[in-house]
Amino acid sequence: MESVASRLAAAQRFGAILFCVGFLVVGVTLFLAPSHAFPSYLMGFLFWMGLTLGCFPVLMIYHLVGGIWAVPIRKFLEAGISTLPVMAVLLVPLLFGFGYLYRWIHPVDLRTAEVLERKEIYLNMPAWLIRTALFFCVWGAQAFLLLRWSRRQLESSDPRPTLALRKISAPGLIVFGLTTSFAVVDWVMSLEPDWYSSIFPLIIIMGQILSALALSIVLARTLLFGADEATPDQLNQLGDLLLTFVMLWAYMTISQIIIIYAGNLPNEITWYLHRMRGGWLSLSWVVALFAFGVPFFLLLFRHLKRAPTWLSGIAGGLLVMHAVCVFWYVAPSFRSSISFDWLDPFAFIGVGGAWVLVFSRQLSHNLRLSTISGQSA
Amino acid sequence: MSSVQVRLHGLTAEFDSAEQLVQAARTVFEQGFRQIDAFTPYPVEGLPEIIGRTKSAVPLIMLIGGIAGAVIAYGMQWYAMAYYYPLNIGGRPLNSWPLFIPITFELTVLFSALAGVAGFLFLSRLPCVHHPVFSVPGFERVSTDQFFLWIEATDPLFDERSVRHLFERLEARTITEVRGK
Repeated sequence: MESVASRLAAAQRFGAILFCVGFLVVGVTLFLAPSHAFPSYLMGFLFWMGLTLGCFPVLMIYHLVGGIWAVPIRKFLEAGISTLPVMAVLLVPLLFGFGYLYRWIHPVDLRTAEVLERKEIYLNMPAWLIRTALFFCVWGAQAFLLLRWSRRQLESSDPRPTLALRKISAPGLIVFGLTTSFAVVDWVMSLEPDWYSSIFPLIIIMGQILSALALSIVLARTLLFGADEATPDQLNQLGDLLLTFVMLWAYMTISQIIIIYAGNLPNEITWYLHRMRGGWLSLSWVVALFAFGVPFFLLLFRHLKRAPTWLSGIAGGLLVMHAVCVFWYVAPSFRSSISFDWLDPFAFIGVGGAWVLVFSRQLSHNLRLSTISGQSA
Repeated sequence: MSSVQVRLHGLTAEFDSAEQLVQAARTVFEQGFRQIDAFTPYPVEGLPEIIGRTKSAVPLIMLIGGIAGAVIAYGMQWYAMAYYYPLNIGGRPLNSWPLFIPITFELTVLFSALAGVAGFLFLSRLPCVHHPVFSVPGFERVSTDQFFLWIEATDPLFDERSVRHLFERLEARTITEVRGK
């Protein structure tokens, strides 16, 4: 227990340092080189925001269906959703970079301008702001309810909190799916405003769930030991769940490719053309191979899912790959040939440092609470 | 009149609870018996491992079936669309792999499922119309509330008297010799 507390304290210091370093660099460049800095910042924000959002559905699925699989990772998911307020604050810098991020503010060419004229009633800055504020209010309310009832559930043996969590989670999943879909349309899909794909938000949501699940599996391996440690059965079920989401993500991704490839319409293929030009195609193959191929194959094997080192290794790989995916979703819209801006890692660690700081703070707070209630019980 | 040659197939022991059966199965396996089987009304956690059924070949059979399905499906589409009767459809390449994926996926699943079912039946030696243990009195209760352990006479360690003693020590409710043609 002591060593967990000291590791979390170290994580907080580490997060604070990363946050300071990252924000110092990115903060200056947001003024000096905004056209470079804003896309990098958006990518950093989207990855860590995805981790926060990914924790919601996993937690709600657990409250609905139950099971022993979520016992080792529940505290990580709950600490994950409590990073929502800091992510709302970290969204603010983006609001000053609309002109550098979203082409629907200033259409660059005639064809886009014509398409966007018809979309203006939805894609305009006030509407974007109102929607995003609304999404954060909805998620905030969900996080508040989930955390409050979860605390009551841990404190007593009363069945009411369990029932309440179930009642929150059933409509909660539907509301969450809708709000997050619309948020993805606003934040990511509108980066290429003349393009649309109705399955794209779900692909992003699957990526978020995968990242959150992968992170909690890695943390369960590195932070828990003794009685808290995940049993082979729990690991097996977590591995199955990971495999399910890897397959769902791949299924939706390939569906989008097939539909757009079969349709072959000018306004739909642009997104893929941008990811095939200038060397981006090679990264597309890396994504296909390492976000689907390799983890899918490894997760088929039962004894790998039951081995803590293997499973956490696969989960860690998936986490890295979904950071690469965020890069792959966003960067080709800004860069015509494959390139890695030196600001990308700074934005990533800047936002990530703040996330890690709040996450580990909340986690050590929750662990202390559960030890106290465990002792009194 | 020809005399029917009756030979001993093995011995069954009947138990009242899953715990007793698991205990007995563990002892029998530790004594070195391998030609053994257990019959229960519902799946008992850990029992297959105790009687030495640790690995199943079904996953491997399903993998082979799946790979065969994928190769056949893609090969069929490639042969028809790109080789035997090439058609220019909307200027796409003849080997338009993204459009071949749905069929390849479906046949992978179909072949692996069929291979799984067939492999399971084959490995379980099913369908089996009759089995010597069916002649054990009260054996039908294995599908409601009784638990049976079975040691086959083909086991190299099998000796009728010592097995009977072993079952008695394990406090079996009934011990039955299974004889037949």
